[in-house]
Amino acid sequence: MSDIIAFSPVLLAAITGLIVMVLDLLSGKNTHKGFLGWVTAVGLLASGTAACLLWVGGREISLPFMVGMVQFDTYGAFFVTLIAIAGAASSLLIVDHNPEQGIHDGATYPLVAFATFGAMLFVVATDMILLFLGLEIMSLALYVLAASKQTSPFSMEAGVKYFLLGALASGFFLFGAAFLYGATGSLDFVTVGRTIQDAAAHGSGLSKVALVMIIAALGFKIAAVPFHFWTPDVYEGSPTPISAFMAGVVKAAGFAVLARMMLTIWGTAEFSSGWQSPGGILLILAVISMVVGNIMGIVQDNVKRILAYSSISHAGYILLGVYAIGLGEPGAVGISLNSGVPFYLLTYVLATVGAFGVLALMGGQGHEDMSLDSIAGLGKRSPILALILTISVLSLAGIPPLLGFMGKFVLFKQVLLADPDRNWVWVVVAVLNSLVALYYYLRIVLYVYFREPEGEAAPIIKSNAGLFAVSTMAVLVLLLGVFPGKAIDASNQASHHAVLSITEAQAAPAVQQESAPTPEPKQPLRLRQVDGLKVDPSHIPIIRRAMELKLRDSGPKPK
Amino acid sequence: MTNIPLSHWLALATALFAIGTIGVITRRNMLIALMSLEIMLNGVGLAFLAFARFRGDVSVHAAVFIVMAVAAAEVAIGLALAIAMYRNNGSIDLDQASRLKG
Amino acid sequence: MIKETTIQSLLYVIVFAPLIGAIINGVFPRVLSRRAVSIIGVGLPAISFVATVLALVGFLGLRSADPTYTAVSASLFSWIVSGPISVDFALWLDPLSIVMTLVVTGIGSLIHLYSVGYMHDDPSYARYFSHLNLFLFSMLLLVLGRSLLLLFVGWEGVGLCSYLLIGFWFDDMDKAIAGKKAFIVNRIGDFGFLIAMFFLIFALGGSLDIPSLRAMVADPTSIFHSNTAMVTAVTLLLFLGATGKSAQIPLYIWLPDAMAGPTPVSALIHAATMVTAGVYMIARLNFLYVLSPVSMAVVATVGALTAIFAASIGLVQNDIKKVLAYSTVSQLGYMVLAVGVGAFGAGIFHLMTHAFFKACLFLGAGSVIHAMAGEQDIQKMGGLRKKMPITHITFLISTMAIAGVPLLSGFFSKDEILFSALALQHSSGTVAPWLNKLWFGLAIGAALMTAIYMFRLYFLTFSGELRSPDAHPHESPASMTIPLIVLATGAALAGYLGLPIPGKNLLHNWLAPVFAGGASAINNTGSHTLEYALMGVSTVVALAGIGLAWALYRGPWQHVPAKLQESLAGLYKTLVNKYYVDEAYNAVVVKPLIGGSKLLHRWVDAGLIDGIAVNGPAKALAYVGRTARRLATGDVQTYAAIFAIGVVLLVLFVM
Repeated sequence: MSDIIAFSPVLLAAITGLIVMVLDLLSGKNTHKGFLGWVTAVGLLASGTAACLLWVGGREISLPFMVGMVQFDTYGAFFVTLIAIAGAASSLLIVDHNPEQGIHDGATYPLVAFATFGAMLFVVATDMILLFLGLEIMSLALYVLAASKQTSPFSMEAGVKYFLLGALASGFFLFGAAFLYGATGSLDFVTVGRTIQDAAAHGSGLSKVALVMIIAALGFKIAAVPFHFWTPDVYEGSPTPISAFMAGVVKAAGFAVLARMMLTIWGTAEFSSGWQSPGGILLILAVISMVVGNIMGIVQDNVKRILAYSSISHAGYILLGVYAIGLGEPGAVGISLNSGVPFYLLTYVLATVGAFGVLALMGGQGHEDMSLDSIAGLGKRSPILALILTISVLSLAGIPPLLGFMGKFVLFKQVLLADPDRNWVWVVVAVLNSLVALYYYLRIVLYVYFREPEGEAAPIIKSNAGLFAVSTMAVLVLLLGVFPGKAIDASNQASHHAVLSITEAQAAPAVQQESAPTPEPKQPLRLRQVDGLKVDPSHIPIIRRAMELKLRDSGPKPK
Repeated sequence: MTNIPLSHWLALATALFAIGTIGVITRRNMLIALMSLEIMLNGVGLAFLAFARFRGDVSVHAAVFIVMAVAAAEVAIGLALAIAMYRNNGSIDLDQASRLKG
Repeated sequence: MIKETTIQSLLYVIVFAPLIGAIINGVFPRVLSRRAVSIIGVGLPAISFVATVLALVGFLGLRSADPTYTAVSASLFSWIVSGPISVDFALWLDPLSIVMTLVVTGIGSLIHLYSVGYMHDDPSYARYFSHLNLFLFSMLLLVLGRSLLLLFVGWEGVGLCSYLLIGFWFDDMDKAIAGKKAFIVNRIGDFGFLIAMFFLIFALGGSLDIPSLRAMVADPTSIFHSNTAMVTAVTLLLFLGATGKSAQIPLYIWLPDAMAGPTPVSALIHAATMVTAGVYMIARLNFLYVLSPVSMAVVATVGALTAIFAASIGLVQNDIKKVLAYSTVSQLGYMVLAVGVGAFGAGIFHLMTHAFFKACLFLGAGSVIHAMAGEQDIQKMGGLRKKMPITHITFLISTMAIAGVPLLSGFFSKDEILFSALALQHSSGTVAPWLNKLWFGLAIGAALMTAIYMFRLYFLTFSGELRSPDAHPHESPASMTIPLIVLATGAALAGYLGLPIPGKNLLHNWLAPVFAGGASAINNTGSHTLEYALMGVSTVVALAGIGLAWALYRGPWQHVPAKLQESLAGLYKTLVNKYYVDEAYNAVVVKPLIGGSKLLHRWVDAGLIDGIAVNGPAKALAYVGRTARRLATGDVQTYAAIFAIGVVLLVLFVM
């Protein structure tokens, strides 16, 4: 029974899909299908709520079950919630967008629900084959969704591109999984990891090929360079709510799995010993992703493409964070304060769904072109949408006090702390990159407020559902930006389970069991030296005292 | 069959996978690209089975069936997309799908 | 007697009142009448000002009861708790922030009032007030924030508001672009600020909380005293932030363009408050800066160079607001020079007096532009003395103050800086002593030029005859003249807060606790006799400059400027074109960047990918597989090829 309870968030998403499918059939051909969007959103939010309830109830939930193929812990709960929110927002955006675009088919909604279900399964799976099932459930639904505007050659093209390349990536993933199985004799992450990290298998050719294949396949999903080429085309061609879904849900799920797989299977003391190590490859991809994403973003004239390149550069920042998690102290990989990656994904998903959401609400009367020119003057036509778009892109740019700034701050801090001697270079690169990125984010704001459309302006859709979704995103971006404490705490707890623990699986490989809540490991204050600039060890106690000092000049004074 | 060493099976599996990949890259007809995808997945299945056989582990055979089922679903969707493409373009030439770029 | 808890509540009122105004005017721009917008837009900053005055009174009371009392702190909530970093959302009222807050809310309220008249016919009236209030909120956050991070939030916030307000009349593309330029140039500075904070925490183990940081630095055995190289790096990076915000060389280029915004915005943001944030930040961190003599010398040198550089450009500008803009850059150079030589009190003193006379000058210029129906070229003005008596008299007082006419505010503050530039030396003695003479020389040269260009502006605008016959200038309404009168009074009298009499300098005594850490590292090598002698010198300089301006533009030598223009055509052109700095930046930074990315776009997309990387290996692959009949030119397959090539390369790389 506890199986079902622990799996309930994921199941709820699947059940939502089934219910919406039946409702679609029962409601007949000629009804307006908008209510299905609300049903989908409510169902997905219920799934997210269930995940939160499990978390709050169990505090440090960790339930490996289904013969060890699924583990629902704080890490899973965090991402399931995030995916549920983004999925619900996307389905609300569809409600009025699709009819305006001439899509009257109700099949979109169950597909969104199933894609969300797939993403959730993807995140909580700990077995290669189940993981692959989750990946395919998500992807197959998305191929269809990308092509769901059947009258549009662009949408069709996006579907074909996404399908061909996605299927290719899935093939590579499976090939990698087969090699891993060959190298270790297991499909279970923890067992695979344990075997790989034995000296014998670690250096084997099979496991290295498998590493590259899996990085490539997941790199495709998260849009890391050089596996990113589909991203701008597919984001541009797909119906905009689906672009929001891909940019939000797929990216979050892809990163959740990438971080967990890399760290559980290859995360050892040698994680980043040189460029050829797993960490080294992630670092290379991180740097080229942010550089290419930002440079290509500069020369774009279509807002959806700009956001696509922005999402590529954000993949670079997050990869840097994944690399940094792997650098944790030997033997304690990932146990430290690695809130950076989950938290950054939260900031990114909310802002990017908000930005795409506003674009989705500008697709009235079948309008597809989202060039900068067609959004010009939005500030005058719809101040509220303009404001939401501005908040979203400024958050993506990392302007305080918006959430994106906190995300960058926490992430870069983590990267720097992981290895101050070397990582400051990457932090400087990343900060420089975010400076370059500012150019194209500001360009959007400039067009929204300071320009008049020269050609045809994108018609705005009057949509309560969509407006509700995007304004919720914007409010979250603002509120969490000012009060990020709880969100950082949650990300922190989530990151404790980023790496599947080896001992846990040894103790109970097959039986479901609630592991006793372990106290959070206390992070010691770290003081490191930066190249050539030394910290005198004798000063450390003084500095530490000063750091802990909460100075109150105006504390109560004795009268 | 056990006389054939593992490396030969793996070489065949890898060759199938590579042929499939090259097919996806080079064949302009969407149908043939779909077939190439199938060849890739067959290579993967073969690799799984070869490893399973040499490890004496039968449970992984189930994994291969799952892969085949998923591949079938994938092809179904691929064909549907090909039809949509034909309706839009009057052909299933992948060269036609290059309007979105930059 | 006002209790401490009351002051804490007042602090929230001070900061959040303008935010409430911004929200109301921003959310209901169409619901509210113009009158309601004005009441909210002006009223809430005024409430903030009144609360500041009450807080000052309370603070004085607490200080008289306990002379060691230094600051009121109010922590709203714990903002970030993450590992070694713990940042409270805390406000902090100490003597320095009181001075700044008084300037910001006081002058801010006056300029809001002025805006009621100035922006009266603007269709986006509510949006204007909403942005202006939001600016005030950010600025107060910057001034009152207890941690560097909160200061940085305010720092970014004022940058954003400045961007929005410069581009306020966005129908004009140039203005929108000026806004963007300001924002981007500032971001370069902010980048330095951000990196500095990282180094401060992670390399020095420092705290972002300023009082805690000060306590750490005060320990002579701490890392801050042993690791001077890192401290220098941190302070210089912070200074990079200051050069962006306070418009110093090399990042000053945005400020003159920023004059595209409405004139009250120029007065409030680009003269009186925001641009002084860099000076404030250095003064605030004085205890950190004095640890690095090198940084101090760099700061002082940049300040002195900026002062004379901008003043020389100001000599030949013809746009009334551009003259004032370069004058602002130049005066900011003085302030930076002051904090650079360790005269933190003098820097803040000049900041304060400058806020009065420069705000008055800008508002006076606004009044003139208003009266001339938008004309900004001083060559087409003249004779406004009779038509606009109040504007004229207030403008004259402020011009005299900035030129350094004795007994007006600018005289005292500028003199103190001149004296400090010559007399103050860092106790470590590592910096060359001739630098003091250089700084002094540059500063006195800038003082002469200031007197010349300011009186040139005055004579061309107000005296003589009107040079454009179509204009019908008239005096501005009361909502515009009242702020002018108040500000001119301040410009005349504010100097008496800092009389150069030992022990009687009110401002210095008031600020002494804040600068105690910094002052201990600075030696004063000059005597009071020297100080009084310098006063004489600068009086002569000021009067000489005024006399020269009179002779050249009103008196017997009126033909000389035209002749000089001819005989020194090269120099004149260089000055008019602002030393070609914008062009140089364009050629060296902007064009290569844009060109490079375009080139990359063309190369990577068209050339490299289609031409070499894809078709080449694709051909090879096809050959190997014996399946290729044609080159893969379709896009999807190009991507697939790159995907596969990426995998192959990575496999080869790791094997």
